[in-house]
Amino acid sequence: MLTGMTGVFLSASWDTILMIVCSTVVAVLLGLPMGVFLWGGALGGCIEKPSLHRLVSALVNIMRSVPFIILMVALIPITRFLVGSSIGTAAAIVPLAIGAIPFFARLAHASLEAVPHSLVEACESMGATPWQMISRVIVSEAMPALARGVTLTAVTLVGYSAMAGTVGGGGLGDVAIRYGYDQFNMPVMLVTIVILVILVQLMQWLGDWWANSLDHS
Amino acid sequence: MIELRGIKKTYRLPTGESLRVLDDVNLIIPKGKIMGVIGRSGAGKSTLVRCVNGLEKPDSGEVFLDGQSLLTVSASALRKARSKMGMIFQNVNLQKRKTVFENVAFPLILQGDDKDAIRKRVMSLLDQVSLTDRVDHFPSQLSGGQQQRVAIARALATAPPVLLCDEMTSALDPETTQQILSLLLSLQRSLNLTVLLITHEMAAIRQVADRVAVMEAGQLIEEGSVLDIFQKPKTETTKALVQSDAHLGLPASLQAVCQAEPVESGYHLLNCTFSGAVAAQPLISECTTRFGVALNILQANLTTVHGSLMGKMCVAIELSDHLPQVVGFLKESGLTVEALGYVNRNDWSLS
Repeated sequence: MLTGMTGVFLSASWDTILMIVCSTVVAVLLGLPMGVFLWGGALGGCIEKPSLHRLVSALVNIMRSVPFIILMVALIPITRFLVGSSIGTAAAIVPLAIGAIPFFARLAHASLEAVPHSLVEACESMGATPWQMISRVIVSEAMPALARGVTLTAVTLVGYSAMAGTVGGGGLGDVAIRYGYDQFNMPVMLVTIVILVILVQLMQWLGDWWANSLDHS
Repeated sequence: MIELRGIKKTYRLPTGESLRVLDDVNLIIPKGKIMGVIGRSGAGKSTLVRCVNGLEKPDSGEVFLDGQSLLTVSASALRKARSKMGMIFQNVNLQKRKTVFENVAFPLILQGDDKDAIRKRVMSLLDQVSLTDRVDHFPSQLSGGQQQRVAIARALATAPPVLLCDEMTSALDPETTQQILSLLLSLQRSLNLTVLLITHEMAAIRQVADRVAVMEAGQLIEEGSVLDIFQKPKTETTKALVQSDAHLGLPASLQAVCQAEPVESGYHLLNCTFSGAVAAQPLISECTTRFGVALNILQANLTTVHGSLMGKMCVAIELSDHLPQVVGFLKESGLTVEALGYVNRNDWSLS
């Protein structure tokens, strides 16, 4: 039941990796500034903008509360506009990335919040501007935690990418649904699971190594 | 020179009550001097030092650095003023992910100095705090004392004329405390720094401060030269602080039976404080030969306050008609005498 499937597994794995890498990169690029603003924009923060902060925080919460499968469907018009199609790997990256932005923003927020406030004050007492504080102290000190957040985001996206497969997103989820579920092909289902497990293990291992290499505490 | 005028600060507690942390504090820190501020936890000392560099904004009052008011200036002017004031904290506050070199270089990078100048300056600073062999270490690889030395080097990076120290030795062991304090003193002397030293350790004040301000419940209750404060403390709080430093105090068994009113027969207890040349005179034996009274030294202690000798002792004098003469003689000889009370002969026990 697995004959001739090697090519399918290989290309599906590649699609999954592509989806995860691209959406993680977008999520980090857009989520980190959001996380920084969630950290410093509150009343009393070093870049305080209380009303904008409330707005961003609410927006993040709203996006976080929409189940991914619904978000995917709801974003179809935007996906079509950006990619030209709502089906396929490239199309799946759009909702994956958009769903992961608020997720990573919250993780980044928590990581920055964990930097001791006394260090912030020490740098303030040295005459650091808010921008210097953020770029040279806060984000820098939070790097190990941020790295763990990136890993967590990527691993979570593995699950989401499988969900994207159910609506024609491509990747391993797509294979599992089409061959494993629709055609009752249990061996294909099992191989997909094994590949996913290995993928997640590898990502976690890589992520831990990265975070530890950044950590000097 | 730093001048604090009428500083008031009230915190609103989550319970809705308000807590007055600073209550009309006035203080002048002369140029090139070390001003120690001492008090118990919660007396407001840390809030006071944080008001000086604007980490805390007082409700009212004024802070002047060399005549420039710091509370009314713009954010960028305040940042500029802050580079003239180095600050050292109890919990060092180094960046964990930066090496010793990078930590010390940080204030210079903030002001945009060029690379070569930074390298030269940082190496000379690390030389001053004897850490040239730890340049590329991370803070976690250093001992507490070494970390604090890095923090001192960092605070001095921009060559500020003022150094603010907030409980800088409170987390260190006694031996390391000594090292850090003598380093502070030698740097202060060589760079002619104006230092505001916040501490709850009287020993630190005794060793390095020129002047002391004592704080209690948000108020500055006493201020003067270190020698004056140690020899003639006026308030109860200061007396207690000075005594605890000298490890003086009546044993509990005597404390219990010591009374203010004279007794028929027994002992008069005195606390004597003396300094300088007086310490070299055999006053006790002179009392005995001159007046024929027996003096019993219960406790004695000789320390160095700001470089000069200061002694304290607690003596029991057997009651006799000569008592006023003995006390008079001690006072004339230059001792500061404080009567502690009387103990009845029957109660006399040191066990």
